[in-house]
Amino acid sequence: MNISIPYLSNEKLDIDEQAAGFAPFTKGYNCYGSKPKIITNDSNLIIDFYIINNTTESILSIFKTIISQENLKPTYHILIELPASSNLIATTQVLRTLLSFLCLSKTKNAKASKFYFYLRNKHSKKIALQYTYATMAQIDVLVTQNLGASILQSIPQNTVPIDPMYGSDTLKKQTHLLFFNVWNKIKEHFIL
Amino acid sequence: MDNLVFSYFPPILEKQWKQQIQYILKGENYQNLIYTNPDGISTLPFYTQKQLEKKIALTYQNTPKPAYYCIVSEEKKANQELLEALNNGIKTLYLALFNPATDLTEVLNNVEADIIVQCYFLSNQLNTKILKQKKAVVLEDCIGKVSKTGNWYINAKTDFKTINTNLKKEKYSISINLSTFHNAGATPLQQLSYSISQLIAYSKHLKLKPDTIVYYHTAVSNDLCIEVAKLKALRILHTLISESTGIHTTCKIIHHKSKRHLSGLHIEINEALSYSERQIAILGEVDFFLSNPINFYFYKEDVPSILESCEDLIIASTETDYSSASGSIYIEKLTQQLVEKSLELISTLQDGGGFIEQLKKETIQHKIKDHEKTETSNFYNTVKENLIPITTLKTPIVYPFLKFKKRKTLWKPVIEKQLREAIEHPIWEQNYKL
Repeated sequence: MNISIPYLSNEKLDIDEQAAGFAPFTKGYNCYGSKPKIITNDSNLIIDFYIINNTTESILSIFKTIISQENLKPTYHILIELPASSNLIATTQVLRTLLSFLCLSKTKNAKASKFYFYLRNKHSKKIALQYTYATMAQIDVLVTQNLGASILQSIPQNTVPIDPMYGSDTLKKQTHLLFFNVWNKIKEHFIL
Repeated sequence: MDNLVFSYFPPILEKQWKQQIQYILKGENYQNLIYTNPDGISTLPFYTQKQLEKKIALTYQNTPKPAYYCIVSEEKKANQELLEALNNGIKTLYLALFNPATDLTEVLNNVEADIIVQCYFLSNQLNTKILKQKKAVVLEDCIGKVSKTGNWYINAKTDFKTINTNLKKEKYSISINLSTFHNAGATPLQQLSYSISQLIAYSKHLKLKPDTIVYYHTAVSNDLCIEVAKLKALRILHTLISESTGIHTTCKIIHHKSKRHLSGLHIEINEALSYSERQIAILGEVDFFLSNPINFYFYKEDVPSILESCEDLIIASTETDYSSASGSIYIEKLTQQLVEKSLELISTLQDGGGFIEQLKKETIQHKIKDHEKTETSNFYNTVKENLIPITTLKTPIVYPFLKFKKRKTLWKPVIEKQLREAIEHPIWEQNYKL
């Protein structure tokens, strides 16, 4: 049996690209293999910002607040309540990029503040998929109930590269759209 | 956006990236970070366009549709169930038939929908007159039967002859059950190669026509990237093999809930996995994703209403952007590796006489068993005890673990096995054994 696979050369081979996983899109190489931390008790959590439903408005609100602050805080905690989908990855990538811009603009140092991302799981039914997407989006902490945590502990975990959806056309479109929706409204505040 | 980002964060060459890694690793070998799965497919820490020098010139776009799964035992009851599913917004129905004496006229009374009928017997025994007025397809799979049970319906010659006669009629087709291998613990590469080898066997024994649509029953694990790649590879392999035989058949994929990862005790685990697997299948652009059949619920309290099942399906179809994995370099690379390696394994199987011959020699069964043992042992190394306590006893309605009756067979069948049975079986015995 001799079957040949019809291949085409990859026309994107020579384009300039931000290597997958490199800041500002993602947290960087040293996070390879890291998984979101699971917490079941959120009563002690101090969250600075929430991203719920309307992503553009939520992100804009974060920027307006931080821009108005005289000094950056050393750490910020952002809780995301979005479904497990490519939009979650796009949102975290846009946030990371713009927050790097913001730090650069205010202090000339893109890493002046640390931003911790939290994802809330509300339904135990969705925990497995949310964990998969949280890992892909490099979310720091997954907030769930005891049941959600127990389910996760009894499901085999997988190894994925940094930013495994890198190259996805849909993800790229979503990221660009969200980025410019926000950027066009805040760019005058940036000194880069 | 790239231009804007690059003006502040210049593009990073892969070489610079690796240098950065070497620096962070403080002398540790980069190769240690490459994960190789049981199929010999490697996962790198990161991917750039450089890892994808070429792309497979076959692409498919598909809109996954929800379908209601009905196991037909009593005609009247099944008819009511189907009508209720249709009233709740479902447009495609999947019927599993185990009894050739089933009166389809009664089952499909007033039912207007797209209908897939899977027969677990030779369908010449079934009265299918009613289907002439319906948008329906009847599926048969005698190789699937012999793989799963070790026996043909009658014998190889009669089974193929009967299916051949049926294929001459309208509305008949064949199905190939990839999920049997998945549920038995086979690797994605084995699942693909054994399923496509069945297609080759069917092509040899049956007179397939260019307009024949071959239906694949699939199941996936919770590993999103490899499973999406598996589903993409399945379509590519089907096209390549069907073109090589000169009969340009097309394929459709029907997603089923995995039995391999089922919990016999906890509906919560099953719901979480079922939800995740379904979204992964949608991302893999299957043609149909099914509701869970009634025999996937082991306790009376867990059985959802028809309305709940339908709502679940319809919500699932809106929650995932099914094209969002398309273009991912990592998934594309996995797909290529699966296709290339599958073609090698298929070729080896053909050199050894083909799928049925390899089944007779029990080579396939042994290979699957080998991986099943490793997968199970790896699983027990990470999950050593039952982590979710049983707080309230429920009312058992079905024995929750896969049963296999010992009987005289032509050869050893491919046996489906639940991953967590060894942990859960003693607990079930303790709590529920009557």
